[in-house]
Formats: sequence, C-alpha cells, structure tokens
Amino acid sequence: MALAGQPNVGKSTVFNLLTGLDQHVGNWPGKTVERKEGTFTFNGTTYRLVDLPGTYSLTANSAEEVVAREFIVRERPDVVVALVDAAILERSLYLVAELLSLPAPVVVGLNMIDVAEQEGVRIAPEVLQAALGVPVVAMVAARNVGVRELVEAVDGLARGEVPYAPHPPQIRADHQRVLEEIAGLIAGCAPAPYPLEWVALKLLEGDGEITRMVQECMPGERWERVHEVLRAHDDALVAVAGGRYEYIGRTIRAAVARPRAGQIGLTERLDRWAAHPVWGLLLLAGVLGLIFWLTYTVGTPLQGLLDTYVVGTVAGLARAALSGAPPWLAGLVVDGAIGGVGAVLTFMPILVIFFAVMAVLEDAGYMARAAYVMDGFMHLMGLHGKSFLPLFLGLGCNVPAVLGTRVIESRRARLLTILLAPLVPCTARMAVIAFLAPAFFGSAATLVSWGLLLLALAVLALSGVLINKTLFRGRRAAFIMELPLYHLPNWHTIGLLVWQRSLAFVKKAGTLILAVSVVVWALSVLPGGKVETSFLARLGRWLEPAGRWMGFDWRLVVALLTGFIAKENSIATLGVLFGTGAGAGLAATLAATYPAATGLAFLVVQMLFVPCVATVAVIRQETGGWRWTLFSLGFLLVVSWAAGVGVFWAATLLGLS
Amino acid sequence: MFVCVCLRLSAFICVPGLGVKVGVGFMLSRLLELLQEGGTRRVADLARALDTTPELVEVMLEDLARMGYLRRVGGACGSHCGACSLAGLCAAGESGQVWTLAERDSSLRSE
Repeated sequence: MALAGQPNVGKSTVFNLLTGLDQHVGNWPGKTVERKEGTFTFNGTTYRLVDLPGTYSLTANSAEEVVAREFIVRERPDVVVALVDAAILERSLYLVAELLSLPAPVVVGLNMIDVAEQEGVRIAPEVLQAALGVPVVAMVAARNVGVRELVEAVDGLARGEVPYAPHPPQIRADHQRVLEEIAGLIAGCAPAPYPLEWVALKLLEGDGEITRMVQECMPGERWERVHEVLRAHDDALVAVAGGRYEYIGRTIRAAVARPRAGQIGLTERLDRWAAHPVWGLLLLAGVLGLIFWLTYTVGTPLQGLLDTYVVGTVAGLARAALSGAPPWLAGLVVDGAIGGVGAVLTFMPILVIFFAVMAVLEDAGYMARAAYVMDGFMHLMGLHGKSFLPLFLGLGCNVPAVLGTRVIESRRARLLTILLAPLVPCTARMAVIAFLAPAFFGSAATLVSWGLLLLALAVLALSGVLINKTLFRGRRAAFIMELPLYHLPNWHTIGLLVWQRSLAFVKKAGTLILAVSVVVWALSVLPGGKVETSFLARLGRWLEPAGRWMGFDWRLVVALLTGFIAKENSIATLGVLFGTGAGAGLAATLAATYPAATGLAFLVVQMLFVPCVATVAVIRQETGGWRWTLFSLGFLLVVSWAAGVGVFWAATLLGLS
Repeated sequence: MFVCVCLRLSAFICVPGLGVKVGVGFMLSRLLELLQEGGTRRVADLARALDTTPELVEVMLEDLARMGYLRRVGGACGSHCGACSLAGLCAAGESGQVWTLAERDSSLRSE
C-alpha cells in the first residue's frame, strides 16, 4: 500500500498512526530521496505501507515525482492512498487526476476537513466519491479522525469487496486521435511495466524521462516518426494538462460549496468602486492627494521642529564647543557634517510618513488596485502595449522599471521604454519634492506637489500612447493581475516595517550622506577658504549659464548634480551650502533666496532629471553598453532643462515671482 | 451563431453552428484564448468567465507559467536593492502577481 499526496498534507501523521514504531527509514535506490516503509495489521492482514515523497504531480521535473510514479508502476501496490487537502482541493486534486491514469487502485483521503470547514468550505465526500469514481474518506488525521475508516476502505478495495469504477480525466477531444496515433507508433516499446496509453500521454506531455526511455528502446528511423508527430503537436501539453484541469473544475463545481460571504464578499463589494474604471481613477487621484496632504500637515511641522530644536541646537553647541579649534575643523563639523546630515535628518518625518502610508496601502491591499486602475486608464486612452506596467513600476523606483522592460520582446520598443522610464518620478524624487515644496509654496504645497505628480503621470500616459501608436501598432498586450483580498492593516506589521525601513535609510543614507556632505563642504571651501572661490563654485559657475535661464545660481545646479548619487543628497547639499544659519531653517533660507518661479522650476527639473547612479547602472546593464546610456542621459538633460525653463517663464509671466 | 474552434494556439476556425452555447471547451485552452484577446484582466474576472474558482485559475496560471506560456512581471530589483537606501519604497509601484503572455509561437513574435 502506498501513501501519496502533496507535501504537508499529513502523510507522515497517517503513516505514524498506522505503523507506530514498526517503521524503517532509508533511501530510494540511487536517489537522495528518503524512503519510509512500515507495516501494520488490519482485519487479519498485514500491510506493507510505503510513504511516497510529497509531490503535486507526477512529471519528470523532480526526483521525488519520478520516484513516486516509478514505485506505483513497477512495484504495483495493491492500493494507493491519495491524501488531499480539503481546504485547497484545486491544488491537491491534480495529483489524483494523474494517479487515476496509472493502473493501481486509488482511495482518496480527504484530510484537514476541519480547516476547510473553518474557512467555510463545505465538501460532500459522497459527491466527491461519485464524481471521481473512487472511495473517498473524510479525515482529520491530526486528531486521528477517519483513519480507521480509511483503512477499512483500503482493506475493502484490496479484497475486491468494494466496487471500483474510476472516472479518469480525458485528454482534450481534438487530441484523442493523436494520442492513439502515438500509442500505435510506440507499441512494444513501452518499457515493461508501464501501461502503453500512459506512456503515450507522457510523450505528448514532453516528459523527459519517458522520452528518453522510449527513444533508447527503438531504432532511429522509428523514433523519427514518433518525434515528427510530437513536434507537429508541441502544444499537446496544454491538451493533456487541460484535460486534468477540466476534470478538477468539474469535480469542484459538483462537490464543493463555498460561501461568498466574509472577506471575499467584502473585497468584491469594495472593488466595485476601487477597481472601477472611473471611480477607481478618481479614488486613486484622491489617495495621492491625501498622501501629500498628510505629509504636509504632519510632516512639515515636525520638520520645522526638528530643524530648530535638534539641528539648530546641535549646530549651536558644536560651534560653541569648537570655538577654540582651528576654523577648518569647525567648518567641517558644523557646515559640512551637521549641515548636510542635519538637512537629511529633517527629511525623516516626511520619509517616515511616506513609508507608513505606502505600507498601510500595500498591507490593506490597495496598491494592486492602483496599478489595475491606472492600466485601465491607459486602455481608455488607447494604450494597450506592454510598456505600461514596467513604467508604472517606476513610480516606486526606476530600477525595477528598467528591469521590468524585459517582458517586452521587441528590442526597439524595449529601448524606447527604457529611455522613458527615468521620466517617471520615483518615490525618492517625490520625497525630495515633498521636502522642498513647502519652502516655496507654504500652504499651497499640497496642490503644487499633487499637481506635479499628476502632471508626471500625464506625461507617462502620453509617452505610453506614443510608444504604442508608433511601435506596437496598437496591438493589445495581455496582462493578468492577481488582486489580493482586502484586509485591515496589521498595525504591528506596519510599525515594524516602517521602523526597519527608516532604520535602513538612516544607516545606509546616513553614512553615504555624511561622506557626500563632507566632500561637498570640502569642495566648497577649498582652495581659498571662501565659498565664492571654491572648486565647487567654479564647477557650479561653469554650468550656471544653463541654470540661469530658470533663475538658478550655481548652488542649485550643484545640488541637482549631487542628486546623481542618490536623490536625497540634493537636500544634503543644499544644507551644506546654505548653512545652518542662526535660527533660520533651510526651508526659510531657500524661500528667501529664490523666487517662487525658480523654486517651481527646480522642482520640475528635479522630477525629470538624470536618475540616480543605481538606475544608470541598470540602464547600462539592460541596454548592453554605453551608447544608449549616454543617449538617455543626454535626452533627460535636455528634457528636464527645457521643462524647467518653460515652467519658469510660464510662472514668471503668470506673476508668480 | 458561430462556434470557434481553437485548432492550435495560433489559429482559429469559426464555423456556423446552430444553438451551440459559446464557451464550451476546455478551461485551460479557453484561458489561453481569453489571454490572447489582450487587455488586462483580474483573476476574479477570469474565474467568472471560466465558471470556476479564482484558486483554480491561479493554479492554472502557475502551470501555464511553468509550461512557458506565461511570464511573471515585476518584482526584480535583485542585487541593486542592497545599495538603495529607500529599499522599502520600490514595492510601492507593484503589488500582487502580474503575468503576461510569453510569446512562444513564432507567428506571434513581433518584428
């Protein structure tokens, strides 16, 4: 008697219950798979019980599956007990479908019905029995319920006292003829204990082991004929697997009753709005606005407090403590280190809010709806190509966006998508914008950043349409999305997540930002000790002419450049260059130094600028060289510059100075 | 009323039929047919269209992916995430599983 079933379905429990201490563990010959064997007695007969390895199917893809099916075919057990998990019959029944194509009689042990009932899944064992045509025994092995009935069924079947009329799954009708043809061609060469039809089926499935066995058995030209038929039907695997799924689907429809209440029902009802093409989109826009609003109402005040009471105080203390020290040391510590790191420190409240809101939305299950709805919007605009989803990934981070373009087969389309990916504002960029917007726009910050994000999404949509019209010729790509069930966010998980991510940020960014700040500071005072004549100023001034079109001076240009390492470094640089002046925070200093139009231009440029070094590295990797990478950089420089200038002049004309 | 028979994954023949309910046919093949129509579909929608449970649709999707007809999208940062300080936020752009048709048939391959 053999015990088959998927991993973790309770085979060991049943095995131990039946054999007790009377068991022997070894290895299957020639394999590293463990073999457990034991004996037990029932109704006067002694049974030898073999525990087969846990498998979901009987393909040749793993040693476990090969071992299991070979045992059944070669050693011909009197009965095979198939243990299935009542809570996920969809998965467990595939093995049963395969087993029924083999010669050994099967008894199905419907295990874990207690778990199934808890989840509201009700299965009628008699109906299942009628559908499958084999004995079905309901069990809860963990509590030793139903095990006796199982053995009774096995015993009855072995003695021939129980009628046995299995209904095995059928191959899809249009392939029945092919199956017979193959069976005819390989007649006599199905290796001894293997049933002919089963071998033919496995050949159609493309089973490696069986193919090898049959090929070795027959002369070359005979195999060629078989191979030709197989090649002509290389999608036969779908017909074979399809037959089994049809079988499973019919069985489940008949025997399983699943109530729609509870979580599933709630999710469906909410999705009627959240995944709706119109309402869902409005909801998404609203959610994005909410994120910004939260950031500004909670984050910005915290930011101000941190700036004044923490950074300012520390800077003051440091300055006092170093009053006797050489000026370069004081400068290094106060302007360099504290200036840079301090600025990023005040960045933390915004970042933590971002982390928290994203974590909540993701945990609750909303993020998937956001992607689905945006995709729906793209379809409305006639964009059906594969570029959309990789670009959408860019909203989180540009790195997975570029890597995600691998799904696009056409090299031209892939390249174009990679070129457009950095235009998608990643969360780092949005966080920087969230930091700077209040400085220039005060209470209007929410509207400004919200507007910028929507603008970015519009640009994304437009470019997507362009790609689709020119490169995909309007062909509709297919995507399948699995939307998880909604559930109340687990505050403990979220708290932990936010804490971990914030800590990770502080650790990684902290060291890097400290280094960058010190370097920036050093470059800003060498060689002469005065900022105006430093290396940094020289570099900045050299590039300043481009920035002057938008009212930038060299300091903003430099801040933009340091964003190349990682976007948050822009803030650090601004902190270093504008110093932690007595009392005045960075935000206030910036607002006092530049007109709002320049501020807006800076935000726009920041949003469209060359991406961080990680993204550039990935672009180089995916485009296979420097040519397209450099082109991408040049392209983005031009686009961001043009957009910045355009916005600056528009804002000035509208009187926004 | 037409009955469309899928001969192979790349060819369809539509013949006039009388009163035959469209939608007869193996779920797995119909799943692939639905996907080849294009567009983005939710697992729940597919389950409804195939008159079965979402769980079975997921099992079939995974199997199709294993067979090479489908491919998973997204979720790839790999080693680059190690250096990124905002490692948690990149998941903001994607959630749940997304699959797309992997183009096996040469007739479907673009350019």
